[in-house]
Amino acid sequence: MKQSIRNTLLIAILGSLLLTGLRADDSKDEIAPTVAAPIEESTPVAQEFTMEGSYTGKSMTKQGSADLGGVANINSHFNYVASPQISDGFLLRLGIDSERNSFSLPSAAPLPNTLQSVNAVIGADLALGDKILLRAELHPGIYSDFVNINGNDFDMPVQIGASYLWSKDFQIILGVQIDLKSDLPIIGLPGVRWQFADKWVLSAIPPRPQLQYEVNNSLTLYTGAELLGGTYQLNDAFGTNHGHGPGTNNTQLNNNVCDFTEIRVGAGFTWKFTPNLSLDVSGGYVPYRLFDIHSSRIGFENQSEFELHNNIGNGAPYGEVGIRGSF
Amino acid sequence: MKSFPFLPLALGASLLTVLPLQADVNSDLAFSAFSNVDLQALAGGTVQQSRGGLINFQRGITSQSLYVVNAAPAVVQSKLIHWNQSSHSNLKVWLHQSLPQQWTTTDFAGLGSLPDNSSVKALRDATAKFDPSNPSLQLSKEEGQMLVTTLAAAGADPFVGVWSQILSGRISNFLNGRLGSETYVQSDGTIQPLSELKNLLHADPRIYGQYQHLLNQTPLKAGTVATTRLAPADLYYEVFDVQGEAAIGTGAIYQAASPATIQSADIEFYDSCGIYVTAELDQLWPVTIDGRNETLVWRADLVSAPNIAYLHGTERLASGMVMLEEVKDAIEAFRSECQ
Repeated sequence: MKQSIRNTLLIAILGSLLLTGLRADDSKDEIAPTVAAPIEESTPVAQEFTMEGSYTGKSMTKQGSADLGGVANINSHFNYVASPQISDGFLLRLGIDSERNSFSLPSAAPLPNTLQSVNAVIGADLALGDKILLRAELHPGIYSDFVNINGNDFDMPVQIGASYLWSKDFQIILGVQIDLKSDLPIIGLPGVRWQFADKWVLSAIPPRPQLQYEVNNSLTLYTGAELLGGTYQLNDAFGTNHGHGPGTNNTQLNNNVCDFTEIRVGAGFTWKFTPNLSLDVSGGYVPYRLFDIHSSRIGFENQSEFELHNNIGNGAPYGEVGIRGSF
Repeated sequence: MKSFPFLPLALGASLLTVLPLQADVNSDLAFSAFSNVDLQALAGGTVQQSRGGLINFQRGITSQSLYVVNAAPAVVQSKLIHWNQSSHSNLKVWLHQSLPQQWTTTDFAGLGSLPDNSSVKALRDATAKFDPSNPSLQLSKEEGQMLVTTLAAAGADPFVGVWSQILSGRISNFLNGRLGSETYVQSDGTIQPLSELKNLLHADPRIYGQYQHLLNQTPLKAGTVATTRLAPADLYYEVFDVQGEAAIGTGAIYQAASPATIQSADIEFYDSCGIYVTAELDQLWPVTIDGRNETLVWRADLVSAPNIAYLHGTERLASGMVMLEEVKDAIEAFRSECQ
């Protein structure tokens, strides 16, 4: 009986490593008469990184029904994680993550110029049996407008995800994010990955649900959506310095928190140009962007919210380029 | 509350029929990843599986499975030799044919009647456009040169002729103990199938110890005198799908039987793309469950492939889980034909 494990065994779910130097010559000249146990002398360490940059054009931003002007966004993101494999089913995840949203603003908008985060990644992956993979990560770091940084800028979102291998073609995913500073302190989202035909995959997994078509082993086309966002501390003079025009201010916004959300819909491609590196290029439309400014939810006091958004249909185009790798 | 005094008795009677055997089974399986085996559950259709875990071979991935077939060991042994997976469409094996002991290149004629699908078309295209400077097929330098020369000279489609020669040469070298001289020339180095097989077989010393005697009688052992080599129970070639592209493979099955158990080793020593080599090791024991003569099958799948080296951390873990699913599909298809 020959195995038929050739099909999805080789789903390189991601990642790769240059083989040069690994093509070991065989030191076992024969099927030796004595059993020589290979010894794993060092802990395997997987590494992964992501670098992404995108530009979203100006979209008319409103406070209530009042137009404040066009707001554009340059988003950049870098992530690096090393995963030492402690045992067969247990890997640590240690790394850094940095994201920056840099906005071009109209002069009379009570909006931050920058929303940025620099944080550590501390977590683990755990296999539960042969069907369930768990991931839990803490992301302690600075999440703010990066003006007059102080202790209030510290936050530690928690992300927990689980995937259940229903079959080789169908997996169920559940993700939960906990961020006590956010307007939505606990968010749970389900997802599925379903390979419903040889070349088609429905990867309905937040924050990037996609319908994918694999042209060949190197090139995948996709269409889908992307949810960009985070929770950021504003500085203690933010409202004082960001009024609706000269001589005005919004001191009630000082030391507040901003939940930023940008929803993107578009299409793109992923090109695996080496076995361990891939280029991702996409573009589309941002139908909705929201700045939800409120006081910190820690303590759960009731505070009024201050929302600035664009109306659906009044969005802007975007373009995004990213490189991912794993070693 | 009314009790059901007969229920525990019925369960106890059922257990009694397997308990004496169970102790032996656990002893027999001491080399494997399985302990405290529940034969009753296996007889009910459960396939017990285990990922191979961390092994000291970057391009290798392994798994173990344990299941029961409702048939006698001799039937299962024969089925391991004669099973044709191409009748199960979900396994994506386009062609599987046994070869006679004295084969010739005309015995590969099945390559001329492959299904017309995108997977096979990709293989035909890769053959017709083969570029030795950027090889998309796993060939030696000499095979690549032969393919290029044939393509340049051929008036008719050279697909069957070229692959018949390549497979014939690979089989001949394997059977004559010359697998060590075989190579795959890749753009970033050279792969030796024998080295891949040895690394896989040595990955778990307990499994290697269990199969050492059988493997030492195969051409894998350098210096084995031809007269002391075991004759293969089957020589075969096949065409199957790897990630949307068909690959041509060839291998040999070796078996050894004792009154207590049967061992089988399926060594696929050549594959044209996507996979370097594979080995499937099976061991069969007779078991009696509820008065029926059945077969307990332990199976190990050992695979070396280029993409596996690029899987790390959680990706590798997930791939191991997917591998178990695929092996399980194959086992269920196999078992359905045995009983």
